[in-house]
Amino acid sequence: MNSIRRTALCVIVTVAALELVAPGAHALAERGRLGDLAFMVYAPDWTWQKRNVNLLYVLENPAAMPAEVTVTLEFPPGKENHFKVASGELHKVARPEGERSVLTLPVDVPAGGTQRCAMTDIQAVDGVPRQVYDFAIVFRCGEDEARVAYALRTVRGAAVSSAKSALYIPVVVALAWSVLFAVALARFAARKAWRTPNEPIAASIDREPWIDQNPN
Amino acid sequence: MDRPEPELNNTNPKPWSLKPARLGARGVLMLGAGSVIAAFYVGTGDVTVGTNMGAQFGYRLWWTYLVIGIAAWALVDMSVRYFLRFGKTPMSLFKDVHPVFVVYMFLAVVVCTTFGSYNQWSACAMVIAGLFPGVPIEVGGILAAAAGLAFLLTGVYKRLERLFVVGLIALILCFFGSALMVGMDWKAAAAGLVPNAPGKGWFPLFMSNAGSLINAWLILIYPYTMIERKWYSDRLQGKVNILHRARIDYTWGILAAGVIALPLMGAASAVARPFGILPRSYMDLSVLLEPLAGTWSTYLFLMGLLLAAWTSGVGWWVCGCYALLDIFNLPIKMDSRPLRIGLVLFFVPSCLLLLLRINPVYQMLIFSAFLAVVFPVIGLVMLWRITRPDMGYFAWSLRSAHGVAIVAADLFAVGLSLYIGWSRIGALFIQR
Repeated sequence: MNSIRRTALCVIVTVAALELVAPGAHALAERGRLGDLAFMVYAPDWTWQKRNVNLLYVLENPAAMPAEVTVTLEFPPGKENHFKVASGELHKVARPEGERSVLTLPVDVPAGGTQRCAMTDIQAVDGVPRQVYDFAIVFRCGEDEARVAYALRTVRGAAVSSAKSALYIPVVVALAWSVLFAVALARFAARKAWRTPNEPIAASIDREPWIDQNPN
Repeated sequence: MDRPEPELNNTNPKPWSLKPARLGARGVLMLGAGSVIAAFYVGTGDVTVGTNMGAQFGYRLWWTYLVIGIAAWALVDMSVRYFLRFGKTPMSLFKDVHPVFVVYMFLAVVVCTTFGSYNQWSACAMVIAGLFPGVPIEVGGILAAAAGLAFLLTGVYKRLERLFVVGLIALILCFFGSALMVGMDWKAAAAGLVPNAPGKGWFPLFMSNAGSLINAWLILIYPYTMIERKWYSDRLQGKVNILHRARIDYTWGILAAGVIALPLMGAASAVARPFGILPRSYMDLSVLLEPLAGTWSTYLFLMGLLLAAWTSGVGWWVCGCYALLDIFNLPIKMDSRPLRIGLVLFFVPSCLLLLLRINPVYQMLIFSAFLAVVFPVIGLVMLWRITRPDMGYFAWSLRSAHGVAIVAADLFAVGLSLYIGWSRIGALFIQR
């Protein structure tokens, strides 16, 4: 059973090594308070262009009364066109620094309960310079307000995005490449080997003993 | 001409009448090639499909792994029976029928291997980018592919098996660790084993799962691992023993795909479903995990994904090269020059495709559909071959329960392949 012990040891060492070398996954993860309420916001801090971003919110209400919370995502001024939002309508609000486009999500948090919600499918479009966008996420409940700065960096996205291109381009590349395979491997092979069934393989003399055992 | 079976002529045992010799616990636990098989099954396709199933339907589609797994098992079993009967490699099966199938298989092998391996390097790159956002996709993917190439160019088959056993166990631990942190609903998971249609959208996922699990010529790979391990005998009892041991091996390999799907479904069910989010990439689930299950859950998921993708990428290359060597009747050997040339040739287009940065979820779902169209042809050819009268002891027979079970499994596998292929062809070409 030595080999089993060795395998088990390898597994433990592998997992431990993987965990030790793994750095933190980059993302926004912020906790805060909004009066009695606790909130948590979680979002990626970078994305590929043409890919969706999802922002997750977790709201905990320890009070005996339900709470009505409004979560607002404020887009960087003048850059709302850099994103497509499938999950809701953007509207304009006045801010001291100027007008901003916002996406609003009303949330009812039950007394003593936790509510999870999300703003989904916010897509960074391509065709604009890659950059860091300074969003703000604002939580409001009655008079209480909490603001979380949210910076999102974009990196270059897919060169082809449609499902058809994603299928056909690799297929065309691979078909073109198959000519090279045919030429390279045919050099080692006998003439017409590709259409001739192979000779039956011979049983090895040094095969493992269990193969030739008879049932008891 | 096929080689005669001397023992059959002398003693003429009825098909499926011999008992295999008992394997000790050690023999049963040595699941090297099973882990190699599992590495083919468990890649980004499995992660994508499992995650999507969990996000949409919780655990309710877990049963699909059981149903499709039976079909995959039967298809692998057919190729092994052919190999044991004649000592011929899987591509001879197609050469026996008509050379046009060899051309078809050659193109399918090159396209699928390029496509499949590229997907895995892309997934590795995404994990690397998730951990180090400054590393471009191209660089991360090429690093992963180069590591795979270096490993294979300097390795022998035994080393591959050892690495894959460790890798597979580690990735199972990673995915389960990640899912346990977010919380698994074991009761719902058990209920998911009962076949059901949970609602609109389940059938395309079922199809994608079939394409991922019963993937094209990968169902033919097992005999190559048998050649590397010298698992062949002239004696009929030896063949029966080998078939018995091999079945345990690929049962484990196929089972692993279903086992790994469970934590993926569990995690997606717990973190994506309540928010109504359908993960659009492997990374979506990893970032969703953190607020509910903590940073370690994300780490574990990312590590599991990296292991799954890397071993699967290596697996695609190995399998593709074996199949190409087989087509040209070259020796099936990992440390041979033609195989190494094949590896380098696969490395180049895989890396070129990384420059396209194709959305991996679209690609995996489409690729699974593509595979689903390919494998019915393989299923039909195999069915034609293994039902010929010259199959001897391994022929179809309804005289014993074992024989009936084999016939039923073969028919089920080919029937399912045809149905899925037909549905996919309809979806791809007719409905549009």
